[in-house]
Amino acid sequence: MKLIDIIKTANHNLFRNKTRTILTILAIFIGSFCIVTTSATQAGINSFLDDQSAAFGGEGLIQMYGKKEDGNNTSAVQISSYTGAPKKYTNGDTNEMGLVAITPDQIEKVKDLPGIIRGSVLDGKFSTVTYVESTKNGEKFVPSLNLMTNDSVHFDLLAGKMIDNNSSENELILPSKEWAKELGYENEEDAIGKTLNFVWSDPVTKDLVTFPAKIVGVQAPSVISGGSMVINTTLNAKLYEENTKYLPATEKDKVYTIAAEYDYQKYTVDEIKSELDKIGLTAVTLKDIMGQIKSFFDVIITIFTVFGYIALLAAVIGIVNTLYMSVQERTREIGLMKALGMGRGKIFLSFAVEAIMLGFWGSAFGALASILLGSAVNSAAHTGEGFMQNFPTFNLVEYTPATVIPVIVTIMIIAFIASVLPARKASKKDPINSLRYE
Amino acid sequence: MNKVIEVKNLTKTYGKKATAFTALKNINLSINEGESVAIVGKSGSGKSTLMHLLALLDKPTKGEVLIDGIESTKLKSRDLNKLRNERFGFVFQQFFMNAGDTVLENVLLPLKIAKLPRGKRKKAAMEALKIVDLESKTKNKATDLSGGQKQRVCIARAIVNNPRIIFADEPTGNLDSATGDKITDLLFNLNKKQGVTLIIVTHDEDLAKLCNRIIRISDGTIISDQTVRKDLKKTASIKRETEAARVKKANERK
Repeated sequence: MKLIDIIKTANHNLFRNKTRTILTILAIFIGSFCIVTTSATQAGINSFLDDQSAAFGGEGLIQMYGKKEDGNNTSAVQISSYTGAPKKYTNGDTNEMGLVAITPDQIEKVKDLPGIIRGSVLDGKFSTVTYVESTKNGEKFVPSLNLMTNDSVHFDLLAGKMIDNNSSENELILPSKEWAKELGYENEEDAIGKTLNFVWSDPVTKDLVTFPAKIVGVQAPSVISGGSMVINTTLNAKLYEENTKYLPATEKDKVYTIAAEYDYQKYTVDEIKSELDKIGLTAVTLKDIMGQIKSFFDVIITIFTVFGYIALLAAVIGIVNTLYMSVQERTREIGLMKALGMGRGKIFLSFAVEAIMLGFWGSAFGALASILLGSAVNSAAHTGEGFMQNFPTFNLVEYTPATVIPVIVTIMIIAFIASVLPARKASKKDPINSLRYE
Repeated sequence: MNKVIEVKNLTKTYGKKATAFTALKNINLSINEGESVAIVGKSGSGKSTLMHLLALLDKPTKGEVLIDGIESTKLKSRDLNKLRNERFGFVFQQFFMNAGDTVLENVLLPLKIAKLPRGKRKKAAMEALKIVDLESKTKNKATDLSGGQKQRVCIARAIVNNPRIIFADEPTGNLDSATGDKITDLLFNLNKKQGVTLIIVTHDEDLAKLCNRIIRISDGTIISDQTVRKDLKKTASIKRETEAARVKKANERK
């Protein structure tokens, strides 16, 4: 028998006992549905995290902070429950992060480390501001400021463009579309090109110093940059100068964080971290941050996967049972096929193909149902009051052939393995006894 | 004459040691091309076992079965399957059809197994169905046919591969006498016109008498082997005429 004939016959035989076949397919369907949904969710989260992590820089990027005496370091990058809305300014608010200063000596040592790419070290003289004031409605807000430390950094933008560190103008990117609204603009597009005043209250004279800056972009929601306002180095330098006006020269040069790129192809993160530890610095890499976020999503994914595999296990038992019954019912047919010259291998194959077809139909329908439901959830989550409306660029579930096809193929392989015992039983049947079977 | 089947010292034992049962004891036999052979015996006599061994459906405990001079016990199972598929046709008492399939599908099954291309096997199946006069039923489901029609489909299936030998196991056993005669006619026509060797296993003496050779089996041994030179043209049709004549006479007597 040709393979194509075996496949056609197997498919035909499957639907001889429709109820039994459909129930078996249903069990596989549930397993496939869970697993496809899981892998699509994983893909959705991964692509979201990839987008988000671009805001942190390339793979080799490492951020360093002065080590605290008590060793209880808080990462400068906080994963907070994201709201997107700006915080109102009330008198007396500060923007202290409580970081330990890094000495020029330490920076020199970092530059000399073999794993650190020379010239990539950027000392973050981060500035701060008392508040920002809208030129439209006069509202005041407290931003947390962020610098685009590296050209490989890419923020996911809703509108506008990236800031230019080489520009002589003061430029900024708003943290979210909510900021645009609170500043009195109709939407994120409306805010582009408008001016935002950065106000620094002189601690000695109590005078207010104002730096107007141009809004060049609005960020998409991000869990990594945590809703901070990105300013260009031009504005940062001006603010920093004002911030440190009364400090002695030694204090002025103090920095709290430095960023650098390390040779990630030659050195592991741990090697770099232990070297930095000797200098008295703690370091955070992209992987550290990803790890925190992923462990949160892993819980959900694990639950789904376990459900999927339990359902699939039940489905495998279903396949074995279905095939055993099929072999029993078709004993005489097997006898006839053997009498007519069909070999053992082909008999085995015809039952194995039947199981593979069961696996195929179950997993294909499961995947299809998952895709339909997933797209419905995606669009529902993004419209109106949907729970994902803050993350328009994030698809909760993402389907690609690369996530769906391996699941279908795996289930077909599992179905084949499940068929081995019944198919062997069929192939070993003696033609005469089979023909006599009542 | 060409020996299509030759059997030497054939013995078949079922079971082992204490429970061993010898179904066939030291059988020697040869069947020539174009013969029509009836293997007759009571149930349990070993006649079915002999047919199964001749048809290579079973392996002998001792002895040899030569098909066209080929020693079958020395063949690999793949070649054995091929030999059965190409040279044998089977007709069974219980028909053995795939009930859900169409008549055409059932008939072309041996050719499907033989890996014939789609077009060729359909053509051959149509020709075979023409011989049994069922061309009009090709698309029908096998279950929707009457007993006689089913057996005709089975004959079509048996001849679709142009076999050298047709094995028929009680071919009329499940049929009434009129339809049985029609089946018998078909089988003997194939034997006579196309020279197909016919081996019929039966306990029906009337059917056995239509063959030119009758082998009687009892307790696993051949008790008689008579070859009768008959005018094969008469056979079944003569029988039917006499049957019709008998009915006519019976009616006249009333």
